[in-house]
Amino acid sequence: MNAPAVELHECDLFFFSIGAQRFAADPLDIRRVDLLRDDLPSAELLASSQSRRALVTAVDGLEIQVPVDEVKGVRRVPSEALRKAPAFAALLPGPRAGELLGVVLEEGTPILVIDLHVLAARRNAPAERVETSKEG
Amino acid sequence: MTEEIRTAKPLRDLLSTAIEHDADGLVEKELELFCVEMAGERFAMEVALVHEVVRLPPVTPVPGSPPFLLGVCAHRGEVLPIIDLARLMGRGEARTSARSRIAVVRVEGVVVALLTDAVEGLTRLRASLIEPAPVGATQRGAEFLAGVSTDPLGTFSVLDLRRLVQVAHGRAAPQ
Repeated sequence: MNAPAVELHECDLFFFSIGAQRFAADPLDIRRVDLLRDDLPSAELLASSQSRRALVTAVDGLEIQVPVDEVKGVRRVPSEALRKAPAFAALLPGPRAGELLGVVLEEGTPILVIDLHVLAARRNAPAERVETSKEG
Repeated sequence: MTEEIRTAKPLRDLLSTAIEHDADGLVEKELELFCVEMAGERFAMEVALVHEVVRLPPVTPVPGSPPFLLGVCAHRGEVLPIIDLARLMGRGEARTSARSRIAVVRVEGVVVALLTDAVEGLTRLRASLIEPAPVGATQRGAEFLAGVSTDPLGTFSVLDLRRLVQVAHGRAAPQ
């Protein structure tokens, strides 16, 4: 008797990097990859002076660019490699709440999957200082 | 041979029970604690809550996270938040070295990795030898301490892991 078939799932993820850190995002959240422009509002994930390109997304019809250093492209990953964001990390404070969609494991290393829509929406949120420093 | 079934209980519960037994003249319970080094001091935690101790794996920082959250790491296929105990307790920051280890602890369903400067191992002692943390102590991180004690290696503070995880959770997601 044949064992019942196990249904496996996979999905496309868009990989990019800022500094030494790799990130991923849902390709459906990205309208296009463009050169970093002065005439588009920006939502920074991480500050970097090396950013020359940007992932352009849209919130309520308004295009917002997310500066990145390097575009790695789209890759299909199995659902087994996807994880929910763990406790604490999922609960980013203030305006950054919800930015972390989850994690994809690549060779044992977690890569953060970013919700670009939430990140871009922060660009329109009321100004609030966001603590990004690791200084105590 | 009798099978031993161990169930994790809050440290404070064990301590209070142990004191009662002692007063009744019964055999006093021994606590097994896991000792670590952090910021030049010794700390101990309930061994029942410590699942594993491993070398620090590659860390993925999480942008915008509070300073005590060093990042996340993969451990046995799961993604765990890594808490820098020293930062959380306001005692500087952990210095990663070849001796650094993470203690994977599970507290009320929440699994976290605690970064420590080094591990010493297990110590056993009678519960009555753990004295309550000084009330109103001004020592940094006193709110996370369940008590203090000594063993042949010296003085150590006993961490209240439940309180520690609860406070860390609150600080990570302030209301």
